[in-house]
Amino acid sequence: MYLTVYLLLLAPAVLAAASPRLSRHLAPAAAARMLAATMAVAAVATVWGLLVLAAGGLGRIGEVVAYTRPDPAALAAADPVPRTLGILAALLLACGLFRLTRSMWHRRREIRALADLRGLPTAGDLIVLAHDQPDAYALPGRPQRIVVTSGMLRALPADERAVLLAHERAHLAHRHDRYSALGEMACALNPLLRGLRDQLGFALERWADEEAAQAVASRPLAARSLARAALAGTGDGPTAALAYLRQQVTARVRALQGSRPESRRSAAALSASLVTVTAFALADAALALGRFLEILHP
Amino acid sequence: MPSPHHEADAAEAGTRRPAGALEAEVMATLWAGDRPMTAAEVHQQLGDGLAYKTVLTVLGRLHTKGLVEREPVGRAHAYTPSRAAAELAAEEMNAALRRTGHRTEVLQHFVDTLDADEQAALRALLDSTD
Repeated sequence: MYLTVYLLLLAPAVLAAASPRLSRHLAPAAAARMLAATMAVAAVATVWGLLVLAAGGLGRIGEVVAYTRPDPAALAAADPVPRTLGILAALLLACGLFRLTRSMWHRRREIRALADLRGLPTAGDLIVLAHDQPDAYALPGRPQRIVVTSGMLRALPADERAVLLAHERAHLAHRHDRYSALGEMACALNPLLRGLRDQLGFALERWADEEAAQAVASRPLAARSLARAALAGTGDGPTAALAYLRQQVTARVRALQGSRPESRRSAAALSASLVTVTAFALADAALALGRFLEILHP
Repeated sequence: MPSPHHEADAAEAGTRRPAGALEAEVMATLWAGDRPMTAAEVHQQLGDGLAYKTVLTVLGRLHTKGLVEREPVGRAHAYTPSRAAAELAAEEMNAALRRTGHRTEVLQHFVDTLDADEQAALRALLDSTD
């Protein structure tokens, strides 16, 4: 039974190593969905695995046994988890849950701070900020808004402005904020998933790029818009961004210069089966925990 | 969800544009122009099968909302985006960012910053296609 638990804790590491490679063979929308599903399963596997280990290890501590009064023979047969491992698992779990709470709290605070913007008069779904620095972003929630600086609108010709608006609308229409929130939460629970979160961020941008290219019916136009916006945005903007994020724009432009990406069936099947196997391990560990709790407290 | 108001917009604009998109496009066009534009000029920029009257209606609506200012030019009006409205929006945004205290994760930015090599590569792309 405990082999499954260790497999469960190994799963996030395996998924974190395999998924980025698999996602490269998927179209952006499929890649984003796959990465999000992977992160969700990996996060749940982390919590569940640690929970089972913590219960198994802490269940042997004298005070707990004195309280729960299990059948000693059954306990000895069922429980090969060393006490220290149980304590370690409990600590890691507490740490992860703390980080999750903190991350969710930050997010709540941000959403509240941005709420006032929704009260501003808008042109359709567009809010223009008087600012020379070119910038554009999607404001998710209700009602959804596209926020663009006057500098960005001046930097792009009419057809390329249409690409920008279509890109931000794609973020809003497909609720990309929910994907990235899920990514942040999974990452808080298990820092091993950080790479996947960055991959997910990239896939979401590519997804919106592809939608924008379709909306204006031209991939070269979409590539041009992105390149010009990126060049205009470079200047006295924030330089603290990660190197990975800085590479994103060039990679995105290059992807738009190529043909429309399609998912390879083998990659889709392989990623689906990885997630399924982990889900099975999850179910098995759940049964194991149930049996153990039964022994602890008949 | 599109309100009845937005559905009316979509009907006016034909089926090609999503709800509310025409207002956004007209607003973006006015901001991109470096001088006041008449409805005819906006109509010409947006083009593609859009009725002149529709553009005029949208401009009127933007004016009512206080997003656009207008001055008479002969028998027509010339429109400029309201700087005051955009400055108010910028202030609201700054206040919100101050309250979050750090770079927010909720917003999805269109682009991030580039290094010198990437700038050169992108410039080359634009030069080759312009």
